[in-house]
Amino acid sequence: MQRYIIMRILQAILVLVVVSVIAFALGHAGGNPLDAILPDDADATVRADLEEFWGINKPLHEQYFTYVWNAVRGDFGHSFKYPRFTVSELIADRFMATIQLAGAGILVAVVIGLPVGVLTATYRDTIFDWTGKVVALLGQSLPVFWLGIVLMWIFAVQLDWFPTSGKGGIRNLVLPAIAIGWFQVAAMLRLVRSSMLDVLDSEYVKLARIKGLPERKIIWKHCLRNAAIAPLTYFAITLGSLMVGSVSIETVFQWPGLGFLLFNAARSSDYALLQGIMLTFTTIYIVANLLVDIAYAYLDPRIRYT
Amino acid sequence: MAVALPELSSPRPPSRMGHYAREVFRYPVIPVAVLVIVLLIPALGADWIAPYDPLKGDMKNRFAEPSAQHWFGTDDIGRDVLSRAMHGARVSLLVASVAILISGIIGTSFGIVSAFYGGWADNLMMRLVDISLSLPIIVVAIVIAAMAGPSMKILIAVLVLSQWSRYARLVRGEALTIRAQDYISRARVAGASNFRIMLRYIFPNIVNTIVVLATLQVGFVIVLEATLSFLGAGISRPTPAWGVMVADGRSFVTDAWWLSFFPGLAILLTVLSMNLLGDWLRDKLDPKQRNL
Repeated sequence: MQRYIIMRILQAILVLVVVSVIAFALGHAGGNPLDAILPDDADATVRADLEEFWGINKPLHEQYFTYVWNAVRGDFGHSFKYPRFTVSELIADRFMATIQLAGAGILVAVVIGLPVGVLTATYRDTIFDWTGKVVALLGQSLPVFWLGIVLMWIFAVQLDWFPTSGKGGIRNLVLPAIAIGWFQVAAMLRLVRSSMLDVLDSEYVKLARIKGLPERKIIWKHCLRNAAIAPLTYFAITLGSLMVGSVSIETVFQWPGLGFLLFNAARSSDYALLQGIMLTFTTIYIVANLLVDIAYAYLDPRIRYT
Repeated sequence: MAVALPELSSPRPPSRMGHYAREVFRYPVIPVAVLVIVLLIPALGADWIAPYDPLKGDMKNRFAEPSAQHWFGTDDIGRDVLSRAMHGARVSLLVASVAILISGIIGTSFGIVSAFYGGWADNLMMRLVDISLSLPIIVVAIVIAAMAGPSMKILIAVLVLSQWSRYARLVRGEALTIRAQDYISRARVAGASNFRIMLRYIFPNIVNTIVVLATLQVGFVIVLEATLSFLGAGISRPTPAWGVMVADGRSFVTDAWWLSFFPGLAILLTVLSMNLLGDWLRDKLDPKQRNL
């Protein structure tokens, strides 16, 4: 067990190192960033000062280690686009908005996916089941950014129920949350359906039926409680991918989170900021996956030996 | 070989609606028809059947609503949305097929070699797969495109980077079971070289799995491509690509819904049909991979 966890942590660190090398290399692949922001006839001393300020005049490996050391301490340097802010300040500023959106997406998935999943499993081959299948299929196939725009057009432009974009009260959150949660609804639904079907087949459900318990109680209490374990653990993984998936939805709704910041940083070639966000996202993603794997290993001993 | 089993009696007789639906879905007629109409014909024949030039605008005819002249309307510089969507099909098909072909070849060879040799090589190769699978690809792609400038080559490279490992992992799993079969050791005794065993004895037995995975991946890759293009990390303007068209329409959603709607619908229909086709293929060719 301990060996598995250590291996798994080492592996996560390895991935982080790879990503940091990619981030670092990408920053240098585009040539000297000062060429992009300084005018051609810029004063040589200004240039030298800026090189000193961003540390671009040192050898590469030294720059890399400085970069990693600073990154570990949460210092990603200064943004090129907003030189008065550090990258960490910009990221910290937007972080909560992304968490909020991802959380709302999970909420949507649980509130819709769980009950519909139960219904589709209980009433197989009925209209519920078919609706559920259509929802699940659409969830896999709908491009979320397009779904966001369609929702915006229907509910914000035509019906004027919700604002089109930006952050504000709870009403601003509804459309982006549905758009980002849609895929998760489908995933949740499928997971709940299949584990409900397993549970409905089990002996203790038969016993409960023989005992004469009302069907409603059997399904929503006895079955769901057992069937919900797998789908719920799944959401730990989802939080990581939801945050990453937030990039397109935040861009559609101009939600001031990390994803939108990434999009804007890419447009303005703000590479310090890009690297910072990339490392932040990757770290969250990898740590979430790591925790899930460890949790699974505790729950399911078979995993440790494969 | 698949043997038709008699239907097991289910506790509740299937409803009439379910019965009809099943009849229609026995063969994927509708998905294939949709794919031909939305993806294949436009992709191959856009030059001949598109009613207008996808790149030439008509400033007198901006934001024309969908009508008999312009079925899908016109955009902010008067370009015909239908013609652009048709040419967009070509981009989607091209990018998706090339990306899937390359990642399939890389992933399959990787998976077979890894399973065949085992030991530390296998370990090392699977760590590479793990690394590739744990990259948040959208973020990486945006960063790469921002640094290197968006282009179709970079887009395909990014898609391959994110997809090859799925084939590698699946193929390795399959190849491990096959390697343990008797006929592999017999082939070795008969003097077959390693390369020959991998190519002639292992590979043919996993072709079905690869085909099924590839079909199921087409939809995913098309959405990924569209997402990256939408975010400015894929196809660059003015080439008409579905993702780019949806992105351009976003600013005009209050006045001209058709700009984003139709290209997005094309993505949806294509991906939906591809997934249905993939599910059907999986049930036919490779029923044990239900969880793909």
